[in-house]
Formats: sequence, C-alpha cells, structure tokens
Amino acid sequence: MSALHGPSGTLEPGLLLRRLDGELARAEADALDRHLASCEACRELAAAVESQDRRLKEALRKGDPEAPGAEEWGAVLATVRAGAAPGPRRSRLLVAAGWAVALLGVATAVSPPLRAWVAEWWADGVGGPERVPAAPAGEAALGEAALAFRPSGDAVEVRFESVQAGGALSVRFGDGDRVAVAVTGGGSERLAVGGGGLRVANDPASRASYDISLSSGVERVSVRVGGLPPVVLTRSGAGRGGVVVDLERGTVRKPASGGEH
Amino acid sequence: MTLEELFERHHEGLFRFVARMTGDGDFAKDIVQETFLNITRRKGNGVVSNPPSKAWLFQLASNLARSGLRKRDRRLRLLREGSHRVPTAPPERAPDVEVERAEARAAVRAALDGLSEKERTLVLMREEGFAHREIAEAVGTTTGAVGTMLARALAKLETRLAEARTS
Repeated sequence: MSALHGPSGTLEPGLLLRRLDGELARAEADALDRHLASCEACRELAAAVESQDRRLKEALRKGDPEAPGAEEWGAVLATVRAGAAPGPRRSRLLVAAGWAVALLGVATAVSPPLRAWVAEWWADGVGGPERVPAAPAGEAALGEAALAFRPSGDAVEVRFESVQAGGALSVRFGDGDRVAVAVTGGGSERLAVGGGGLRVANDPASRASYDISLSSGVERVSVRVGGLPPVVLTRSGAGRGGVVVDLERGTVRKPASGGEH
Repeated sequence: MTLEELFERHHEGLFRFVARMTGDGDFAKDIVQETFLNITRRKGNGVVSNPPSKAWLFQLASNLARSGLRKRDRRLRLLREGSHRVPTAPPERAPDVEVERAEARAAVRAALDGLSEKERTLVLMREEGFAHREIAEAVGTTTGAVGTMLARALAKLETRLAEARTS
C-alpha cells in the first residue's frame, strides 16, 4: 500500500478533493497522478469524486433563490452610497436622500426603466414612505396611512418583511392611473416605494390590514410575505372582486366566499 | 479600489452565499446591503484604501446573517414550514414548472439544513472559491483537515439530497 492510501487500502476522498481543488503541493500532486495512471480502481474513485462534485454544484444552482436584477442591485448600491437603508426605524429624509443619489450619481448602474420610473414618481410628488402613526402606549393601534404611486410596467411586487399575527391584504385590479395603498389597524408599519413595487416594513405581531387598488396598466402582482413562497395574482384570475391574501399564512381567497386556495 | 468596484466584485457571491446559508433571497439581499453599509460607515463611500479581503467580507456577512436570523426566530420557523409548500397560484401560472422549481428548492434547502453549521460553511465557502486555508480559518480547523471534512460533508449532502427528493 502506498503512502497515498488510507487505512482502508483506498485513496482517501479528502485527498482526491484536495487534488480537485488544486490544494496539493507539487510533489504530492505528481505522486498522486503517477499512481492514478497505474491504478484503475483509484482512477474510478477519482472520477466518482469529480462526478459527485458536478452533481452537487448543479443541485445547488437549481436550488438557488431568484437573484435580484440589475435594477435592484443599483438601488442597493445607491442606498449604500447614501449611507442609509430603508427599514422600520429609518427616517424619511435618509430614504429620500438615497433616491436622490440614485437619480444623480448612479446613472450607469441604474437601468433606463428604473430611472424613468423614479423620475416620474419624484416629479409627481407622490409616493415616498408614509409613516403609520405609532399608537400611544396602552391603546389599540388605530392609525391609518395611505400612499399612491405610478408603476412603470405591467407588473408590481408587494413585499411584506414579515409574516403577521393576523390581518390581510386585499388586492383589486382597478382602472385608475395610480396604485393606491391604504393601511388600517396599523401601528408602526412603514411603507416604501421602490425596487419595482411596494415594500412594507411590518412587525410579526401586527394585525394590520392593507388595501391595494392597482392601476389600469397593471396585469400582474407578486405578493411576498416574509419568507413564504410568493403568490402571483393576475387581473384575469382575480376578477372584479379582487382577492385577499392572508398575511399570517400567505394563502389566497376570494373576498366573498372566504374559501382558501 | 472604489466602493463601486468592491461592490461589483463581491455582491453576487455574497448574495449567493447568504441565500444558500439561509434559503431566503430577500434576506440575503438585505444582508449584502448591510455588509457594504458596514464598510461605508467605517471607510466612507469614496476610495476604499486597504479594501477588506473577500474572506473578511464573507465572515462579516455570515455574522450579520446569523444575528439577523436570531432576531427573526419566528419568521425562520415559518420559513422552514413554508419552504416545503407548493405555492398557491391562480390557474394562469404554469403550475408544473413552478411546482418543479419549488420542489427543487425545497430539496436543496432540506439537504443544506441537514448539515451542521460548520459543514454548511465548509461546503458553501468552497463553492465560492475560497482556498482550503481560508476555509480552515473560518471554521477553526487546520488546512490539512479541510479536505477530509469537505469530503464527508459533500457525501452527507448528497445523501440528504437523495432523501429529500424521494420523501
């Protein structure tokens, strides 16, 4: 048995992996290659290690969550450069400053559709984060907030940071020229427009409900609630009455029947 | 090196690493943002003299991810429950394709979750092209031991994947 073999008499998989990763010293690598040239069983083992590596790489790739696109990464970079990030406790000024940097300084990183959409939103004076007033201690959260924005394409994403203890999202495909959002029963939720839609920084204990009326050009909305699989709703599928998304379970139902999908 | 160059060089690998560690793409994007914000706060947002090493960036991202997940215990529990669900969708979606994709993701998620944190770090750092010396530093072992530990972790991952697909 050569020095390359383990106690079992076969080459150690760890050694073959180090060879695959280019981690062997020159002398070690040469000795191993000379052995593989003369030993069919060890050659088969080396091939099995390489084959396993390829299979696992492919499996990992297939299991990857969808990566953000160039627009989203541009917005992230803009936020980093502004030194602020949208979140439950961030000020409106910092978020607005982040978008101003995106307009002025990130021209090469931001794609034309996003630039156009942000410019339109900014020039209109609508959109921007609306803070739901925090409830005074000891009282139920009865604050309301609303905002409207104009999306650039026919698809909108609505992303809730967290699954909630209760509450629902009512979605209607409307005929207006803007997406209108209203919150009821809220406490400290924050709404922000960006990244292709609406982002809601909500709390797991929240029972707030949200009403979204989509503008006439929107045909499709993707709703993400915390880490639950996204729900995709279409104008033709939702019908006139719209749909309701349960913010605790991420399930979808029609408003009248109450039956879940 | 400018902040933009540093971001351009590492943001995709950081995202992929954290997304595979946690199974949550949105969370991973937030962690990438937070990682670079950390640099901005330390070094400003112009030229970054003495740019941090790739290993340092990934270690920071790992720490931020771990810290973020601890704060979201309830959400993580629901994420694990939800990751095996077939997405509900109106009939207009291509259900077979979506179900197949969701099942593939769920199988990989279950397989990765079946590894210990050290094994997961070993495997995922290797996927991001780290040298065994750097992986050894990250998990607290010797460079020589990394090959053997990796081989065991990969074999375990393959077994878990096969189990997840048939369950």
